[in-house]
Amino acid sequence: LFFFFFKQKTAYEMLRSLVGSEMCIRDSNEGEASVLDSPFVQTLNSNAQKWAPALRMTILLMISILAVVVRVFSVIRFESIIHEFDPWFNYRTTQYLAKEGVYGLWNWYDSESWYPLGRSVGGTVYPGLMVTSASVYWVLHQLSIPVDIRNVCVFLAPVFAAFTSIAAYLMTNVITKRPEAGLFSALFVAIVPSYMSRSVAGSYDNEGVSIFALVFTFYMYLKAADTGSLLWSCGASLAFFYMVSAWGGYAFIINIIPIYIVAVFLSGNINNRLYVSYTVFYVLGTIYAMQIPFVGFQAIHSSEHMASHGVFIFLQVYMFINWIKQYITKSAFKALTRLVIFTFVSLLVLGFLYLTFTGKTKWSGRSLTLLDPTYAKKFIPIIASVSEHQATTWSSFFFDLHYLVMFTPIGLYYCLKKPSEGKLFAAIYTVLMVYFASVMVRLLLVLAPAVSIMSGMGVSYLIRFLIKNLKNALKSSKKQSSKYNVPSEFSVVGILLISYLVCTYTFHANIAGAESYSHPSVILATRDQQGNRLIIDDFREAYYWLRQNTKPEAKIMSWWDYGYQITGFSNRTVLVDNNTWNNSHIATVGTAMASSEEDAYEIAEKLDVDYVLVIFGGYSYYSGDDINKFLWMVRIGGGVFPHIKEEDFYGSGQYRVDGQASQTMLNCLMYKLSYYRFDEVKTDYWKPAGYDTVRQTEIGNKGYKLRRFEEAFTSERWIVRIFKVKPRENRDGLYIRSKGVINYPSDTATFKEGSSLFTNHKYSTKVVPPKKRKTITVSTCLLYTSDAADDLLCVDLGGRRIIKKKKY
Amino acid sequence: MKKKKALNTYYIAVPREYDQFLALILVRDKNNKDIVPVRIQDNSVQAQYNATIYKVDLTHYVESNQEEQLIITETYFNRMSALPKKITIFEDQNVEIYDNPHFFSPYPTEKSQTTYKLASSPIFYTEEDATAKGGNIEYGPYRNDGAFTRSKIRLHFENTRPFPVFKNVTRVIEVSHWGNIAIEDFYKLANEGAELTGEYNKVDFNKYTQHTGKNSLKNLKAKLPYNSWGVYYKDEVGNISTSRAFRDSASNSVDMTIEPRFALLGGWKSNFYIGYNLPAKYTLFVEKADPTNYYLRQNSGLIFKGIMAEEFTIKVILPEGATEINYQFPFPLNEVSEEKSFSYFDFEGRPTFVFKIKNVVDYHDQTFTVNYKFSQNSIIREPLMILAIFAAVFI
Repeated sequence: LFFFFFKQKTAYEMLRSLVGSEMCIRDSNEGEASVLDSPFVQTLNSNAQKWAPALRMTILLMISILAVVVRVFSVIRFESIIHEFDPWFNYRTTQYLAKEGVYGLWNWYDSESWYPLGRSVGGTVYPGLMVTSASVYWVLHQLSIPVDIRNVCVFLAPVFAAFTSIAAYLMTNVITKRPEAGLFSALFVAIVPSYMSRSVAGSYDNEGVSIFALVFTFYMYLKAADTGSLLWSCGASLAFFYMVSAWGGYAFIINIIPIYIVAVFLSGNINNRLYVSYTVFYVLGTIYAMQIPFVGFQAIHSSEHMASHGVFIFLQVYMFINWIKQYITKSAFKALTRLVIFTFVSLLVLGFLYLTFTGKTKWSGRSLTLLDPTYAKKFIPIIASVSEHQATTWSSFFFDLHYLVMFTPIGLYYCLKKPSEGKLFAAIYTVLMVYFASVMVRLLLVLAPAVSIMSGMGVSYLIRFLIKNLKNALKSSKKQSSKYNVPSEFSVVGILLISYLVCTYTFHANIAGAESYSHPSVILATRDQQGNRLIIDDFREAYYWLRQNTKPEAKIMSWWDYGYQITGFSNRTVLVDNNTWNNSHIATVGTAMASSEEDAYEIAEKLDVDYVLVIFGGYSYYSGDDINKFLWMVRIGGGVFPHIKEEDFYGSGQYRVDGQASQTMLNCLMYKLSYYRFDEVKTDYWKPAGYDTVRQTEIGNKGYKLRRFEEAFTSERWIVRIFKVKPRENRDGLYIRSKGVINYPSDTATFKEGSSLFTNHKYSTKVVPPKKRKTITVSTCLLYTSDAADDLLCVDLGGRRIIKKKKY
Repeated sequence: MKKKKALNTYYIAVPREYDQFLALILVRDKNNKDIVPVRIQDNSVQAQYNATIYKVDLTHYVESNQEEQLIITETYFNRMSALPKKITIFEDQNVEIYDNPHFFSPYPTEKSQTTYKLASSPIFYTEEDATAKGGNIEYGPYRNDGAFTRSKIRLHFENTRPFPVFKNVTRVIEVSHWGNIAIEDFYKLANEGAELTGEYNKVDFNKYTQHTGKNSLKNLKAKLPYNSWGVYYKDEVGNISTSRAFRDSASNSVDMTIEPRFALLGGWKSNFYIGYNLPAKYTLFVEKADPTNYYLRQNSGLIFKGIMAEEFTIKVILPEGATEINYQFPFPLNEVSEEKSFSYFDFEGRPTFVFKIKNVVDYHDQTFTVNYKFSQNSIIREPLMILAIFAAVFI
């Protein structure tokens, strides 16, 4: 089989100059009296051959431009603004980097987030994205082009999408040696909706640059494997380094390449080129990966990297045995091989089991979720709560990849029909990614380049096949080959059909890009009855209010989704944000939201909270609000503080907010803040006052007053509501336990001795929680334990000690 | 006896406790010309009479025994303060003011009378020598006051209007000889009325209600030059979509109404930018005799009328290569400095003049001129440079 490979390769290499649109001539050189031999066609052919490279480059350039243009809808329809959630952190970090430089970022201890813990940013980010845009910014400024850092950030992802399509072209070219397949791939990847969803202008996220890095690393590696050259291997590891610096998804590369090596080994085609490329890539890549502070020694001991270590050792042993082969007899060699393989495999398995069970190596929560899709649901609600971590539905597969899901099997068929190393790689990449993408919807993003490359190969293969048939039919009957005997009508219809599908795909991608993925999500747009476009700017209204009219040191408590936006827009301190590194801290906030007003007040007070921010859509049909997310707060809160029970929040067996909702639900802080005085407004002429437009029901708890919180701001359409935490009233909750003063409340008999946080207070004053509370104390709320944190890629707090103390 | 000399100076006294709130004094004599008096740094007089003295140079000499009529306009800010200092959203804003009802002067005064025009009938006023007619309160007439006569009255009345103040305004005027003048103003706006206490009460208060939050600042009206185009209104976090502008040929201006992101209740702040462009042909003039000599004429006032800016900075960015720069302002400046600013393809930097004015009121709505020399040929330097770079890269 290997020989066959080799033969094919040389054949391709010889014909390299002949591929492309001019491939037609290959078969027709010896033709006699057919249309193909007419002088006109001959000139056309030779001209096409002459201009093919220029044409190819022009098409590629146009695809690159298209990739950028299709992604700027959001800027045209809205404005040049950073979108969504995570991009706000990236943007803020980039601003910091541009101002303070690399060392500044490295040592940045951000006290505006995770109050009172803070976050050591330098050691907990993948800085690739920020460094990229800061470098672009710096270079442009050196060239005397003073662009705004925000615009660099906004337009970075579209530009990298253009790079990605070039990288996809190169990669497909290496795999198939056919530029037309490369061009198809480039076109597909340039506008594939699933990639667009993360790389429209303003979507300033790690994936924006790292999809390019991923494809480019694969291209470099394939080139290295193809040539066995040290230079390409070094290039591949450098590209890998960039990928590691940009995104945690580098784990895909460091696993796919070893799997590919194993696959090639199993097919019996392992060779020195692969050996050299993998060894160099592995050694350099691992060393490079360790240079990123966030990865560090995880590149050695985390489970995600184990496959690469194993394959590396295995390759060395295998090559060593092969080398020994020359010096010993056949039977001795066989025995030796068996022995070595057996020892090696058992050692590897034992070692891995040992490491796993002793906890030396661990899977991160997200990786475990990938391997066992039910894992997060069972154990880590915080991962399960994120919408982009949900399992992928068929409809989103089709919406995000469209006809590529049809072209991919053709490409796979083609790969397996005429296998080569590169095609094997593409096939492995695609198949693995299909699995991952079906586990988590966000990983459709990593699948997108795979299916684009596959589809490029598939489509070009089909077209080539059909055109060959057509040509065969045009030839004189003598010359016709029996290999291509599909009827011409069929070929023409086939080609038309494919063109139609490809065109439909581009239209679909265009619409998806313009309509679905170009919403900044911090600005909403709607149409009024006259059809005029209305901008709903509640988020910025409220965030800007926070920025202008609160003390600079104010602490804002909100659900973690809004943490990055509040620090970015409002420049205020938040308790939790989208980094989600500390599960128990998030659980504390969840618990506060799910507790009664008095209990929540205590938590808020102990966390120095000045304002509580809730998102409420019941007034204006905004469905992504906190009441809809609330069950996750309950679950995450309950995961750490067991007195919060999910079933307490169900009324008549379901989650509801109307009169039949449970008392716990109707009296929890989230409910009270969201619906505060909502019962006094009418949202719809035909409905009673206090009608929630999202839940389509009349609210259950009406006419209540807030004792501990005070409405500080509510945005125009009620979407953002901010409440101030009132200071304690004079002598509130303070009872003197001296014998002389009889003001110790008699009805706190249920209140247990020693359960207060202040038992060790040296005066005999006692802060007693207010009357009418459950015996459950929230005394454990303030103890931060990082062992509940979702992700083992979590933070070393820069020497800050975390108090570990559990008292149940 | 000595012969009495003809005079052309006159002195104005301002009580020292009010001097810090004085935005502007204007004196108009019979030639109908506004004169800005000069403050005299005489500590002994200040200490002796507790007054600050301003000197006015009249436009002509007044002979002895001749009468001269002067109109003195003093503009104060921050003199009214809310009482109570904090109100809820349902309450109306009341303010109080202290003043000296006598004509405060370094000269003896034969007769003086002061009328206070209030926004509403007063809740309280010092009744001595006063006659009240609705919102108008008259003090006096006082006869034969000596120099520096003073007393103190207090007025307390309802004034539900917002008290908008620009704490700081920065205007950047960028001159391009390609035919455009780009102007961007940055405003730090505050509503210095009675502060909000208690709940915000979204149910009762919003943009469209009149009966709650009366002292909230919901919108502002600006007048931009008639030829301005490409108007934008934004802040640090992006565009603000609540503004309207139309070109009004009757008032020869572009009338713009802006709403801040949120209605500014008492004590609240907000920042914003307003930017617009002007075609150079209306404001940038070239001397006929010397085509390298340019005159830039720009407005030195705010685009918002009736609102004071505590600090106003005008930055004029001239094209790279402008030399011999002079400027003329119709009023004295507090500070002038020079710096360089860098824009696209600038290597030596554009000469930039920074003019600082304190306490800007409507009076400052005048025209200033910046005069400089610039060779029209040097504007093609940058396009040529870009061409050269392209050529170097691709050829």
